[in-house]
Amino acid sequence: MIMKINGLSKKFYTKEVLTDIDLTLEKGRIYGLLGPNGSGKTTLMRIVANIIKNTTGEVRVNDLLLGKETKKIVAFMPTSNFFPKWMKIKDTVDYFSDFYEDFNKDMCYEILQRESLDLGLKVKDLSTGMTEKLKIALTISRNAKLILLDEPFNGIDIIAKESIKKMIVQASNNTNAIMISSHLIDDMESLLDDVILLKEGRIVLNSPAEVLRDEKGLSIKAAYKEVF
Amino acid sequence: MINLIKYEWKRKGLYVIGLMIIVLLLNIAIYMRGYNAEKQIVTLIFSNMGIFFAGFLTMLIMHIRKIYNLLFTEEGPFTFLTPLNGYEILGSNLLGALLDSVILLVFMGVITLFNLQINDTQFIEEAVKMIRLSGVNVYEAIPGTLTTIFLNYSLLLITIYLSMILVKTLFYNIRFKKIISFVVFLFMSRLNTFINEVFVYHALPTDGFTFNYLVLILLKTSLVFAVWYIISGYLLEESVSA
Repeated sequence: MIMKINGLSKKFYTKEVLTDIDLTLEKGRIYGLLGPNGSGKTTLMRIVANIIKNTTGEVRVNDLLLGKETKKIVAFMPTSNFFPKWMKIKDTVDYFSDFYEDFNKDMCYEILQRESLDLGLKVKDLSTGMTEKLKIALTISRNAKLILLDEPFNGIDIIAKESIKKMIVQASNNTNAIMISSHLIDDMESLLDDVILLKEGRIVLNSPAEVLRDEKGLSIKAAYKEVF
Repeated sequence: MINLIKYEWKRKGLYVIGLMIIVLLLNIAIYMRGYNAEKQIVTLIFSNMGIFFAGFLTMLIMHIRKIYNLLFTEEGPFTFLTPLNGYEILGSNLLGALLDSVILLVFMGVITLFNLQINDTQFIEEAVKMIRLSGVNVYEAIPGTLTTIFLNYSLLLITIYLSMILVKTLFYNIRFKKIISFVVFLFMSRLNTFINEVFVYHALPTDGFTFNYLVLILLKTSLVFAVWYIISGYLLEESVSA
């Protein structure tokens, strides 16, 4: 087990956006955190990444409570373009290399070269697809125990999507777990080992994709439609 | 922490170096005008002071914007995701700001001394003579005064930072949180003035400014700074809400 969440909730003002979340993630699997916009996916990921605090409950990653130590083993890719605008692609690589001990600079350069991302380009000049590729390349070049990708397929064309999917599959191994949030279900069908459906801040389905297919005869898309 | 300062310097280093080049070019231009000695030194000092204040104000805005970007823009996670705690993130921002201020002040000090020397004014000799006559030890007073200036600047920054951090933490779920945080900022500033009135101004020696009095000011400023820093670091670490 790489991550365990017990009785987690999160309130903004008086509105509870996450309610009574219990969740366990195992190594070697790719999890899909699915749900419509506003269901609490991003909030849950930001809590696990330890950039915002939960209201109640407990989260452990590799048996450690969230804190400075878990930031060393959790790689989070936010949905927004979070790079400082003055940076060039090379600066972002150097930044990750300076801050994260588990960052593999050579691997990152290899991915960037494969994806035709010029190191001299400024991040503010990148297209949406190029920004997503850069974010993914940096995130998966970390040998992190838990990789969280928030909406990696937002606003990008089909070619970039395929390329990002390949990167995600290559990053998955027996020492890590990957959790991908998305509301674009079609893109997730071939990628996921497990499906977690989030509705109005509650987990309404948590099941291996093969159980859905084999025992219930449902594709991920069909299961999603059934719930929402 | 050193890494955060390094990247912060990469961002604004160009601005600081640019400012220095402008000052140097302006000084050269004034020398080339061929004014008489008195007009030359007056023009140099006033021009340099003007640029210094403009540069310092811009830098203050940059120092405030840095924390604003961290807390309220999409750039925030880029720093918050690094394996550093709230105290380290805050500390590196303050150290970075202090470093800029020291570089700027030292540069302006060197330029001013150079101008006074080259224009053969008696200003430096007169000033040293006056300080000696007043009985103040120059070797204690100058470093002490500079430390007080930098410490007070750090206190101003941490007061502003804390009021911004409150918006994202304790007051996040409260309506009018920005107004309330501004009121807290005013309160913290007033509290600092109150502490000065009670513990510092009353202790001013009757025979004038002494080194012990300077130490008292330093102690008081350090203490208030430490309290605001600990609260800010704790809030950043434990209760950022969104």
